[in-house]
Amino acid sequence: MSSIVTSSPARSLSAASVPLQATELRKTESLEPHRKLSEPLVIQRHHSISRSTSKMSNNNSPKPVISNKGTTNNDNNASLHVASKKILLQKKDGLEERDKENYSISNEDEIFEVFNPDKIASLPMNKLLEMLTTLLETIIQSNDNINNVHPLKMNEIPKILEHDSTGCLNAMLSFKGKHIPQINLEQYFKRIQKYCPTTNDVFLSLLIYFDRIFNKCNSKFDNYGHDNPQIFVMDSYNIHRLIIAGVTVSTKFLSDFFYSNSRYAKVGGISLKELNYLELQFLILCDFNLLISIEEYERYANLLYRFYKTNTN
Amino acid sequence: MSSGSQFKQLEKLGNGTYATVYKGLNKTTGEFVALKEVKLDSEEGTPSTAIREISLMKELKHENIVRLYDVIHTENKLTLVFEYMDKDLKKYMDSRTVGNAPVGLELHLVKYFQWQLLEGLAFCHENKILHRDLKPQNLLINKKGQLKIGDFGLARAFGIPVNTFSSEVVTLWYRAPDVLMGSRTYSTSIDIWSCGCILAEMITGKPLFPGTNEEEQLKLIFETMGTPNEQSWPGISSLPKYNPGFPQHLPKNLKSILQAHCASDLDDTLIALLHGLLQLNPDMRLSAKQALHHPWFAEYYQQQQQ
Repeated sequence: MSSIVTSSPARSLSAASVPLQATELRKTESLEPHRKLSEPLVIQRHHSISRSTSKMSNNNSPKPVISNKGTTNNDNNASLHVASKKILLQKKDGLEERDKENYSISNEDEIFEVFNPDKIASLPMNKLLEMLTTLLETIIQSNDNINNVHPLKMNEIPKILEHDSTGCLNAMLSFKGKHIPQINLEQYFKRIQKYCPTTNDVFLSLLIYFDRIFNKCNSKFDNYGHDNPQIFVMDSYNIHRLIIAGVTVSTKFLSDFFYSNSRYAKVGGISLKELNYLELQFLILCDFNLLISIEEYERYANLLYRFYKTNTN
Repeated sequence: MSSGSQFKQLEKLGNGTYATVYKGLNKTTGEFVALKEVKLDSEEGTPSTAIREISLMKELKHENIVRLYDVIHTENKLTLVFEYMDKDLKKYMDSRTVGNAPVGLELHLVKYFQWQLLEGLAFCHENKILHRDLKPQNLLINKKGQLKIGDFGLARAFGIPVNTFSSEVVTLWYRAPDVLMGSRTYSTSIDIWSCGCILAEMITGKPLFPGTNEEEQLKLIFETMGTPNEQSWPGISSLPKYNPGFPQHLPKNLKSILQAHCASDLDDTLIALLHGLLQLNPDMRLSAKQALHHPWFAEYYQQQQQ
């Protein structure tokens, strides 16, 4: 009797079997020009969940934003919401008066370049990373500010955990570092691209995955009452870990060539043990929902580009 | 994700490089399942095979693709809960050998299996997923005669054109000639070649091109299908491992080769379908959709239309 999955053993036992992906990928990896990691990076160890929770109860240090849906003029201004059309509107409506000019779209009808798969693939990597940095920095800055104004109330946490059947909050807290890493996002992306070179689809996919996590985590609490907490909030304390875990997951999913987790950990400035843990948390937060349609890539590439165009110059 | 206690673990079904498979019983429904346990390695983290298998099979809900019901996460392992199938096509064919002589399947069964294989594959391709390891061991069957595609550990999504395709994919015997010559720009046609090899193997009971290394594999293919050149396959000479000195062969008569190992008469539409699947030039191969509309399947699609 056999079952669906006996194929794996069959594959390796078959007389004529050939190098399979796993071994092949490992081999390929060692053939890749391994740049020496001359720039060690250590991102401060993050709180364990219990530590960070207890710490939070003592002072105002890092905590997830819990913004009150509906109580501000726009619930999105915290916005790690990288989603669809909303992003520009959010920025336009949601921010303080003084910022309005910077974030609003000068002309809704302005014709922007339209991204198709070929164009996404041929976009220079530096440009893509610059655009990503601009967007993510805007989001985390905005969230950092809100963190300061509306800190998560510690007495809320047990209540939230009670409602958090999917473990979103726990998973999210595992990305939160004790300190803000010294390295800025642009340098961090460049470091990843230098030592673990990958392709545009991997970096673009980060936005899509972050958005999926946002939607999953923050929608779970729709019935929580008007104090609907936002569980997934990207800020300066967690963005680096979200990026390195996201790149690891995305590369292993999208590409036939990837590095060992120990390399991603070293490049990302965290321990292997921590990366392995975060990788799994990232997968769980995504519900293993990693497949991206061409239309989604196009939509996010267009959004990213529009955001960049509107917010630079 | 559901809790592991819902399933009772029964006998071991197989051991793999990255997973162990057990038969399991769903205590709530009384149904059998296959439990694939994936160890979370301290060096590798979550294996890429598991990441792919879970995220792709989750999306592929089709009656000719093994269903992934659930993923259970416990401490240092992931357990994938699959639909239970009785055996794989390789074991089924092996069980029919008489002495040492391989025996093909009855042609009506060949047709039914091939139809289901192409249905499942067409669904993968519509969803922009390449399987990249089609072979009898990865086709699961049950007592109802259903066939379902399994093991998506080598599969990948395609969409944004990137150069991160490996040519070290597909088990050698089922690997397309363009991939053997180092192509990294392959697409759905890579799976179609494997379907052609599987069809021939079901007919005769033995693998069509059982090479022992890449060089011999290409040699076996060319000996039967003829040696391709720039005329028959424009662009072939730019493939990394193309060799202008490949020994020249004329195509052989596929029908007589297969007929020698098959008791029933092979009709010409079947041979025509085989040729459509086993085109050396990947651009000339039928798509899964086209193959399903091939005259050899007339009785199936006519039935569907009614």
